[in-house]
Amino acid sequence: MADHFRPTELNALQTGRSTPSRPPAAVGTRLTAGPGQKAGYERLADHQRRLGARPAGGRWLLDVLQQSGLRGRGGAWFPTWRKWAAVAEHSDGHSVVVINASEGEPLSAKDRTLISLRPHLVLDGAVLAADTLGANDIVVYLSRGAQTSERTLQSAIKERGRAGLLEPPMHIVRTAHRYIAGEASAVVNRVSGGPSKPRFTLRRAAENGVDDRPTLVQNVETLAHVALIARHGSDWFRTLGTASTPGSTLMTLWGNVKRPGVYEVDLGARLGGVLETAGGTVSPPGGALLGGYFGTWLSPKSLQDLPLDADTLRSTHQASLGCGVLAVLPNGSCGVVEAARIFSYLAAETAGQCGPCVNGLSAIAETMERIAVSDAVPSDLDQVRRWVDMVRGRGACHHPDGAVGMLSSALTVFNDHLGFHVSGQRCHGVDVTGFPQPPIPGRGWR
Amino acid sequence: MSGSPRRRLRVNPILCDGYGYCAEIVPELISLDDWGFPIVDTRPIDDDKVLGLSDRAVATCPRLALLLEDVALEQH
Amino acid sequence: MTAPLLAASPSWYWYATRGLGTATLIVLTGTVVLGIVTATRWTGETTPGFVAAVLHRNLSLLAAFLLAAHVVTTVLDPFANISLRDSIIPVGAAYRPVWLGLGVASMWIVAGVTASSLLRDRVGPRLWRLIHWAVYAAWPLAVIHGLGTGSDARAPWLIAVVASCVMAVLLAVVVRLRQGEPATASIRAAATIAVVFLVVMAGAWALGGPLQPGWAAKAGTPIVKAVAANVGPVHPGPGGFRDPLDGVLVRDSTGNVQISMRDMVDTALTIAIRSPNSNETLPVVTVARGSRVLCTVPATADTTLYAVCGTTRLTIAFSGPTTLLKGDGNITGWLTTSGPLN
Repeated sequence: MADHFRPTELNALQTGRSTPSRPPAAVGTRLTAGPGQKAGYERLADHQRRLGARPAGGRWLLDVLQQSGLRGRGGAWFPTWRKWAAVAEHSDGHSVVVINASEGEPLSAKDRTLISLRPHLVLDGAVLAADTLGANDIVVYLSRGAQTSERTLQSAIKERGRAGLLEPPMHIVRTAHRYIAGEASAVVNRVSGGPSKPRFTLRRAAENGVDDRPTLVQNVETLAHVALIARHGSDWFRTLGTASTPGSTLMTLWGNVKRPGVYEVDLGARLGGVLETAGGTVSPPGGALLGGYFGTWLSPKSLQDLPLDADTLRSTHQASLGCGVLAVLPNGSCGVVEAARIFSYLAAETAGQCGPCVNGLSAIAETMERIAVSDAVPSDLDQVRRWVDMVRGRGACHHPDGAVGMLSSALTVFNDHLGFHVSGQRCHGVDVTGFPQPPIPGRGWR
Repeated sequence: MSGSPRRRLRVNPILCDGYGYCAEIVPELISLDDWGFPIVDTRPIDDDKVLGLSDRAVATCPRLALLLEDVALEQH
Repeated sequence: MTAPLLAASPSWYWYATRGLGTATLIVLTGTVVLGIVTATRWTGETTPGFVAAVLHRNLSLLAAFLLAAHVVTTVLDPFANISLRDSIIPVGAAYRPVWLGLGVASMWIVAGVTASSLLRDRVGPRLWRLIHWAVYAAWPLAVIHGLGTGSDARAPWLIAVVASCVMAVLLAVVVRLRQGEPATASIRAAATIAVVFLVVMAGAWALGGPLQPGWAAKAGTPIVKAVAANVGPVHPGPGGFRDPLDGVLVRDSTGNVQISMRDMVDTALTIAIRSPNSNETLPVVTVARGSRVLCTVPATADTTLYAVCGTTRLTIAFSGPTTLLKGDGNITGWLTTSGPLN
């Protein structure tokens, strides 16, 4: 049973290519440069021929990363050099580099697309990290059932071994495909042999991670960018993007777009340009969700001009690119209904460890389900808002925060429409399937 | 210059099972949410009496979920 | 067959250990009940919930101390002949081995629970909880141990104490299960079955065993060698002597009586009296010095016994009301001789 979306379920999996007809502002070709999709994954020999040998990592790379301004592409957009510096501070040669390829976000396909086409970029990045941070182990953290990714990675790792590259040992650790399995402390827990559930620790993974060793947990796309920056330099990286958010990034476009798929995007562009690259929307958009299930809702008006720069998004729109997902709602769908559906999924995908999260999300989800079908009164909304404040920040991880954050943004953006839902008037959005239904929550934690 | 570092209360939400003894012992800093779990004021504790009560609360928790940690000068 | 020799007379330690054992059971019962109260998240109208938790911890420490004192006095007591080894290894004791062993097992569980709680930070939450559940084994073992080894099993005051303790714990367990704690239904079902089973089995055992006369012999009270206190002859002769005797009377299930007593002045001298079996009509007296039997002879059957040991005539008189002879327990008397018994 499909509990995550395999690449074949994306209608037209594309990596953007720059052709004269496309607005150049929206499309970057760096990660996506090279052979097209039909060629399968780029083999080591081709990769080395096209890009040159991998340079050796070291302290120099920390400086270059700082100058490049690269920010993590796993959803947090945290400055990569600072994450590395924290690990380097505590490392004594026994650190661990974990490549986070679990991609638990159901709406995101960029990570597995990148792995299945450019695994050597990702592995280069990981080895560069290992060199720089004094790590003697590289772990690929992968969801069970991600068969294409696993096959590709196994082949790629074998290739590197046969080519005689002197690199730290690489092995794959599999995890149950759960939403929360990609959370940093859950990753560390699973790689250390436990379940993929978050842990409460007073010391961060950078100091005390897998088997109590300093650990770097990094998203696959970030590592791919590192591999290119190490070759081409920080100035090159900054030719795209903005001052605070330089470079390019991968975005997954879903839903009410003509050509859904994974696109490489210039971070200096506006959202409208990105949508155009995907052929525009099929029907007038009813709104959009930016950043995945923990993301921010956008009203139809804001879609065109929204910048992709992280700082502007945060300060002006209280939004974030998150894991790069843009899911557009079709005409006639209802953002409140969609938000309630997604919230129910998130409430079912807690690790079940923390009282405020388990109880709070469950209570909110129940009430939101009633609100979605208009079986509610205004005090129900007040209750939801009260619970949202009660739950925020009180779990061991950010799962409850992400969930209530997404819901809060829905309640804000679709505020005018909420009146329908709490006055007994049926909203026709209930009949429309806006996004693909959230997957049935997984089972097991390993 | 003050000598010992200031301390603050924190709860480990994974260990916590919602007994609520902490809220009984140091209501100045801890109240209970709708489901019986503690909402902890994590600001540094300056009052000695409250600090003493916080110590008692930490010792009484049946799950050892409550802790008093030093307020470090963190740099992120 | 080894001549039945006498255990030392009850000393202060014997009384102390029995008292301490009872006290331990009472305090342990209180601890268990309070632990259950804590688990049911009880809070009172004027009493906050943490009071139960703190009381539980304090009482448990008291129980641990009482238990330690109970064990120490038992080992030090020369009467029941329980050595240090017997107090550590739950099998193979000389004195009522099975029932003593249960107490030793209970002791180890209590020790483990106490240690894991004191070292809770090191032990970690999951292991601590696992060990803690073992208390549900330690407590019934303590009750059964008390009934099995104690010499007061049929005393009304003790029956009242044990019954109260059992009722208290049963009540607490029932309340807890009915409240739906622990959360897993299958665990609750298993616990209910275990409780019913235990109550029925233990109750039947108690009613048919320790609460019946003759238990002491069935339980394996040894009439075995003890330490001879002094070496040289106290009454070298040629005249006789009159010394106080102290010992036990044990009645087995068929009604036969065995009496073992020690001369409290010449403490190496022991007298054992066996009531008549089917081949005899008179009680049999065995006089021994240390491990050396001096004589085994018939005596007259009366509240005062007359016998002849070698060339010495003996008179053994029992103190106290004659109804003593109908019971189980301690017995005192006087030994009068016409000459030495060396």
